[in-house]
Amino acid sequence: MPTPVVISGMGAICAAGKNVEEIKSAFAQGQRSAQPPTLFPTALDYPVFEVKAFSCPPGIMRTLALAFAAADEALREAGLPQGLRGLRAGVCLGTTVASQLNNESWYTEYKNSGSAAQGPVDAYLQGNIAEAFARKFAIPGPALTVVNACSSGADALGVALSWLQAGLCDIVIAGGADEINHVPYCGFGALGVASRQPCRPFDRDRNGLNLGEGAGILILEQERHARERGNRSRLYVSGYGAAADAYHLTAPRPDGSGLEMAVRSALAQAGVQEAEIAFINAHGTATRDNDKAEGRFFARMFGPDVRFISTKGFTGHALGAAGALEAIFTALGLKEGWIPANIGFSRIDEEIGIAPLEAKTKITGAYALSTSLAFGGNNAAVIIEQKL
Amino acid sequence: MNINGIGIVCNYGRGLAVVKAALEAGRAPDILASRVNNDILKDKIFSHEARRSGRFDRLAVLAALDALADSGINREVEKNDIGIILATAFGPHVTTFRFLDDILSFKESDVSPILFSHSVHNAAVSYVSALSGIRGPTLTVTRFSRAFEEALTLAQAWLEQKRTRYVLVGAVDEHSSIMEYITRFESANAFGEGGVFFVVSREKCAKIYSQAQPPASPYAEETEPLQSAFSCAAAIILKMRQET
Repeated sequence: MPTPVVISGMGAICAAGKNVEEIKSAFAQGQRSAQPPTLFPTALDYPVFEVKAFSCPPGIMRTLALAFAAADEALREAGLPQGLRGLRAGVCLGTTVASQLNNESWYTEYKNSGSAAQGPVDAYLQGNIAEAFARKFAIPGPALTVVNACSSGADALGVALSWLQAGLCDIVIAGGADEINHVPYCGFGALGVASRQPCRPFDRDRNGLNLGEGAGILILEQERHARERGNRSRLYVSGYGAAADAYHLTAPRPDGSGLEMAVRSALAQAGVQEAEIAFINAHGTATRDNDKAEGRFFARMFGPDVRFISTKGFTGHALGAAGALEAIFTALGLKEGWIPANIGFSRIDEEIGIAPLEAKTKITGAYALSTSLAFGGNNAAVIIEQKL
Repeated sequence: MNINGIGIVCNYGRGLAVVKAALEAGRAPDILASRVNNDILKDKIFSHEARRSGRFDRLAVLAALDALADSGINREVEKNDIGIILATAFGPHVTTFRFLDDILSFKESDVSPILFSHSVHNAAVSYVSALSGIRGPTLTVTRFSRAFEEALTLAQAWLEQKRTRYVLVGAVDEHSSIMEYITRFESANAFGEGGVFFVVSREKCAKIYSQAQPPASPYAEETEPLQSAFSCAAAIILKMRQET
């Protein structure tokens, strides 16, 4: 019997809100705000989901600042406002942007003169988010930054689960963070998968994703350790599975078989049958290929009445943060007993054959699934459980 | 945890025999701050569906597929039971900067989607997976130091938890003048280029280089992943030399 791993705290920041309560309120009211980017000048017209009025301290990357903001909330909820000093702790976080020196003005200066300001270099070299967290929170145990593209946040939860169940640590800061940056903004546009309208996950007329940003941080902890500290959370990460498509650099395997392997692996680890899954928080980017492969797989494995949503209509695609944010939204669904509408959907796609939930919906059940698919053919599945 | 196979591409060349000969000739067990010979990266495996792969991807593919071949694992049979963990300090940064060149040189709408898709860190593992048929869990991880040691620790956890029967675990980085500039104040050791992969398992395969933990890196904790992985491989190769 694997060691139960409890979610003792959660923190989230994204375009839908700067903490879990604000996000819950936006979900309940069906509010979303895709707008032209303000973080950089551009001639392109793809709307994005920015975190508004967020002040990033000088000298650190925005991604890291977002992650610290979410971590503060998660640690407070976990009953650890003073941090993790003295605990057998680890940190595993996913990202994409923070792993690259995507600073155009610095690079222009370097190209033109053969040298450039040291500040952006220092921010990059000090900005590996797991290393930065290890320094800030004096974390003595394992530390890793996962760079698995869009499944990074979900895969980071899987790494944390492995560490905890292997007894390498008692508590892990896990999740993901990413900022909206001009480089991927141009890149997704060039790939032809960015939409010029607010995204419409699983809709018949969907035409691409909107980039988002944010951070989702979960404090994962061996149940015994959490209880000894007095934490009484009933939410658990009970299963994680991952599998490769071995197919294409940017397109998912059309038959969804990689995703199916990941989901079956996660269900097996959790000891759960597919009929016990109350709902699915899908990756649901609103690209033609992703939603078709994912939706058809849901219909095949979970049946025509499966309850599923994509929350990217509220948040945009937050890349390395997405899997962690959506694991938090999945846990919130179980805890609150409702999930939001799949905002942006209006017409069923006959090629998919099933529709996501179109309205805020009451949920009962102990288990829910969050799925993530990524560039490179990574598929990840996380099972969240609420013990009654 | 057993080490069942090793693959190396570095400034000394490609393959265990080449590295062994270099070490026996008295060359240091270091990844030097020089580039891998371009001819090595023109293997015929890159002639079709991998023709657009970048330098970083090719270093990963050659080292990983050599490690698989060295292990003797039947990957057609075992493909769902092999995982991959790649550790890197800087990822495919040369491609990242080439994509920045595109943005700075052309209209935003005219940049190359191929450069963008190859600039993400996990593109290399995607190529390894697609070219080998591996369908197990795949992970790319990054830290400027200790990333390989952490990858190895995670591989051991995956094996003990029966997430996979085998793990291809290794480190890859590429060298460039811009990274030399960026890291000029960072390390006494120069950042090098290459790919080193190990097949690890709990299985009793035909070949077992080491039956215990892989040798710890002889370097201090602040060692970049590629150097750590190369040090592990060099230690095994030197031990083989003593035993023979």
